[in-house]
Amino acid sequence: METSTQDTSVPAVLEAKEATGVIVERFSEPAWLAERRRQAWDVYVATELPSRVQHLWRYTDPAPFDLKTDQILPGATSGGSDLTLQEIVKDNLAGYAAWHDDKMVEISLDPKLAAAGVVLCDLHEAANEHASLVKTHLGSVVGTDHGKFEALNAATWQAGLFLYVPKGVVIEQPIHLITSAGSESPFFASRLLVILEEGAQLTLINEYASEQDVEISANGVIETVLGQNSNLRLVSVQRWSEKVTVLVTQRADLARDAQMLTLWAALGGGLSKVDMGSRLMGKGADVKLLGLAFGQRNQHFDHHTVHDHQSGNTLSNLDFKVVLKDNARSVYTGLIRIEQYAPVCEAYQTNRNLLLSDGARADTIPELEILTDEVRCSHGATIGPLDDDQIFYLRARGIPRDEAIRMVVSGFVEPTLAEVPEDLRDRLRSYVAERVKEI
Amino acid sequence: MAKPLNAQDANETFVNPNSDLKIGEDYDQKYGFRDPEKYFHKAPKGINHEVVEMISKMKKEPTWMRDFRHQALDVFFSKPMPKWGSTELLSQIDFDDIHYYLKPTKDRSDTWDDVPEDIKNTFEKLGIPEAERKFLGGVTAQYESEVVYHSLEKSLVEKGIRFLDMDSGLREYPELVKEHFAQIIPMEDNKFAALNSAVWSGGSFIYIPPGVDVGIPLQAYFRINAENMGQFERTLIIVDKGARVHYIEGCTAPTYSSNSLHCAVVELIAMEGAYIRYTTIQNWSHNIYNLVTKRAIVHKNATVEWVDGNLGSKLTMKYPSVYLVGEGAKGEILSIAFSGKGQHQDAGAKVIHVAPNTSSRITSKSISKDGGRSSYRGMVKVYPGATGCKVSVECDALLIGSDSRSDTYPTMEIAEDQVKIEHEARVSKVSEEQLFYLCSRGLSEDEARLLIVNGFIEPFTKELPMEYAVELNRLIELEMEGSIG
Repeated sequence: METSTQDTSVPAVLEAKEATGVIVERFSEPAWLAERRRQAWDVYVATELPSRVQHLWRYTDPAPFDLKTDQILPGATSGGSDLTLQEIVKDNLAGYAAWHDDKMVEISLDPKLAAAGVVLCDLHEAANEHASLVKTHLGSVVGTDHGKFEALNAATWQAGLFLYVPKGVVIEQPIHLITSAGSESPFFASRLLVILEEGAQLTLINEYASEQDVEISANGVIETVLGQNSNLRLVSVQRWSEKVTVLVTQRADLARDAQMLTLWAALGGGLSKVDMGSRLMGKGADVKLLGLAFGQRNQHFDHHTVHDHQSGNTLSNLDFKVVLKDNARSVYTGLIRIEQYAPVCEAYQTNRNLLLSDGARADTIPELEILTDEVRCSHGATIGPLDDDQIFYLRARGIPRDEAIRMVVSGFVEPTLAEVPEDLRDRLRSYVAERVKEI
Repeated sequence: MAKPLNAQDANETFVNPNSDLKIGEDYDQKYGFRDPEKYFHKAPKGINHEVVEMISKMKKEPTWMRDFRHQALDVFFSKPMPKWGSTELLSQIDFDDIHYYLKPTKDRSDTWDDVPEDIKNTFEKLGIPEAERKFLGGVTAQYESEVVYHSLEKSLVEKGIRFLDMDSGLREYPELVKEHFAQIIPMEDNKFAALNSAVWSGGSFIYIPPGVDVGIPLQAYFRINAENMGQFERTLIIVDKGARVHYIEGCTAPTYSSNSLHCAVVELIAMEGAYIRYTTIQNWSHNIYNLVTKRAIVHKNATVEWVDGNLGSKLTMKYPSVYLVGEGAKGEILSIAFSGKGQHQDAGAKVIHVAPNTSSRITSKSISKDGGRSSYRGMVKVYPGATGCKVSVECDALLIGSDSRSDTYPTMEIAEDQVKIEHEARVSKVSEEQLFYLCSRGLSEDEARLLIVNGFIEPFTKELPMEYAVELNRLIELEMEGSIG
C-alpha cells in the first residue's frame, strides 16, 4: 500500500473541508451533514490513538488502523462490481440492498412495505429526504467522542445504508444488506443506521464481504435505535478478505421493552477489531448477543462487547464462541455494567474458545462492574482443545478421526447458527465446513 | 450488638462523627486501641536517600543491601502510580507525610517478659502469646518497623528449621538471603515493591531444610501503632525439597483520622516437592492503605497455597501470584474480601503456567456492603509449551446495600492449545428465597443473613486453623450487624 510518490503532495494534516469535501460533493449532501463531517474530522485529528494501557487495546496495536491522510482520501469513483454479491440468495427476502465501493449497486424493497412507510435507501439520500430522522439519530448512538476511528468514520463514510421501520410495522421476511469493496481505494468507510419505531419488528442481515485478494482498511459503524417494544434480529457476517484490516463499532440503544438479538459471525479480515454494545435504557429491555468467530492462518480477532444496563429490570445475555486453527489468535474482552440506579437486572455472559492447533492462541477478559445489589449476574469462560473423550466416543462408533473432529466442531457452533435465517444459515455452515476440511 | 463506647475509649480513639461505621466501634475496643508513642528511634517524615542511608546504617547492613536500597529508591521515584485499581484513593497518599522507619525498642526479645510492658499488653490484648502457647510452632511479632518478639519451638530449631525476622536472617544467613532476596519480586516490579525494597524493615525469614514437615503453623503478627506510619515488612520463605510449612500472618492497627501505609513484599520459594501454605487475615483499621506484592515460585511437583482474607484497610491492592515453573507444580489461591462503607478491596490472584502438567485453582469470594467496593482482578497466563495445564477460576460476589459495588476483572491469556481453562463468576444479592426459608424456620432476618454470608464464605473458613475460623466468623458477625437489606 505504499504510495510514497504522492506523499509530498498531500500534507500530513488536512483541513476538514478538504478532507470531507469530495464526499459531500460526490453525494450532494445537505449542508448540515457537511458541517458534521467537518466537525468530526477536527475531532479525528485532535484525538489521540487509543491508549494501550486500557485493555480495550492492550492486545491489538492501534497503529495499523492509523492511516496516512493520503490513504484516507477517497479515490476516483469505480465502476467495478463484486462477485461476492452473486452468492446471495435473494428469494424469501422482504428487501435487499448491495453497496459496492462508492455506489449502491442494487436496491429493492417489497412495495407493500414501502407503502406502509418502511424506508430502505442510501444514507446520503436519506440525509436529504428524511433529514429530521437522520439528523436526530445519526451519530447519536456512536458519537465522535467514542474514539479516534469512530470520528474518522463520521467524517469520511462513503458507503451508507439507512433503514427505517415505522410504528407497529412487522416485517416477516428478512432484509439483507451487503457492503463490499474492491481495491480501488486503500480506505473504505461504511455506515449503517437502523431505526425501529414503537412495536416495529425486523430481521436484518448485514454482511461485509470482498473478493479474496482485496487489501484495504475497512472501517464500519453500525447504529441501531430500538423504540419501545420493538424487536430487531440483526445478523452480521464479516467475511472480508484475509488481507483486509477491519474495524467495526456497533451500538444499539434499547427503549422500554425493546428486544434485540444480535449475532456477529466473524470469518474474514486479517487484523480485526470489533466493538459491539448495547445500552439498555428502558425497563424490560432485553438483549441477546451471540458471537461466532472462526479464525485460521494468521488471522487476529479482537472482539469487545459492552452491555450497559442503564435502566432497572433489564436483561442481557451473551454467548461468544471462538474456534481457532493454524496460527489464528482471538482476544475477547467483555463488560457487563449495571448502574447504581438500575436495580433488578440480570446479565449473563459466556465465552468459549476451542483451540484446534498448537499455534492458536486465545485471550479472554470477561468483566463485571456491578454498582447495585439487586442483580443476578454471571459469566463464564473456557479455553481448551477438542474434547478427547468426544472424539474417542465417535471413533469407537467407526467414524474416522477427521469426520469426528468436523462433527464436534459443528456441534460447538450449531446452537449459534440455529438463530440465523435459513438461507444464510446454510451458507454459514458451508463456510465453517470449508474451514474444518483440513485439520 | 456493638457495645457503646465508654467515655475513656472515646477520648483515646478517633471516631469520625460523620461516619456511621458500626464496625468501627468494636474495632476500636478490640484492635483499634493505641499505645503512647515511646520509641527508641523515630525517623522524620518523608522519603529521601538520607532516610534510606539511616535505616541501613542503624541495621548495620552489608554494602550490597545498602546499594540495593538506594537503587530501589530511585526506581520508586521514577515509577508512575498505577493507573488502575483505585486511582482516586491512591492519589490521596501523601508520601511526604509518612514516617518510614520507627524502631520501638532497642533489641528484639526472645521471651515475652523482656518485651516492654506497653507493647506486651498490646499483643496480650490481641491474643498472640495465648495463641502461641496453644497451637503455634513459632511466632514473630512486629511492632511498627521492627520485630519486637520472636520465638521458635526448640524441637523445630533442632530439625534445622530457621524462622527469624528478616533483619536477623540477613545477618545470620547472608549467603542464603543474598541468593534469593528480590529474585522473585525485583525492585522494578512495581512502584510499591520499589518503595518496600528501599525502606524494608522486619518481616520473616524462613528456611525449611529438605524433607522436614513443620507440622504446626508458624505465625507473624503485624501491628501498626503510630499515626502516619509506613510499615514495610519483607518476607522470604524458602522451603527446600520435599519440606512442608504453614505460615500465618495477621495484621491490625489503631483507628486514626490520618492514613498509614502498609506496603509489604513477600517472596516464597517452593523447591521440588515442597509444600507451602500462606494464610493471611488482614484486618487493618480503615485508615490503612494496604498495598502488598506477594509472589511464589513453584518448582517441580511442589505446591503453594495462598489463603488470603481481606477484611480491613481503606484500600487494599493485593494479588497473590503463583509462578508454576516446574512440571507438575500446583498453585491455589483462596480468598475472601469484605468491603464495608468507605472501603475498597481490590484483590485478586495471578497464576502463570510456564511448565507442562501444572494446575491451578483460584476461588474468590467477595462481599460488598453499605457502599463498599470489592474488585476481583485476576490474571491467568499459559505460555507455549505448558501443555496439559488445568486452570479453574471461580469468583462469587455477594452484594448487600443498593450502593455497594462489585467488579470482576479476570484476564486470561492462553498461548497453548493442550490446556483446560475454566472461569466462572457470579454476582448476586442475598436471595429472598433463602432469607424467607430461614425466617420461616424462626430465625430473625439478621441471623438469617449472617448464616447465608457464613455459608457463602465457608469454602474459605474451612481452610483456616480452627481458632482463626472462629475469629473470622466473629469478625463477619460484627461486620454484618445492622445490615440493611
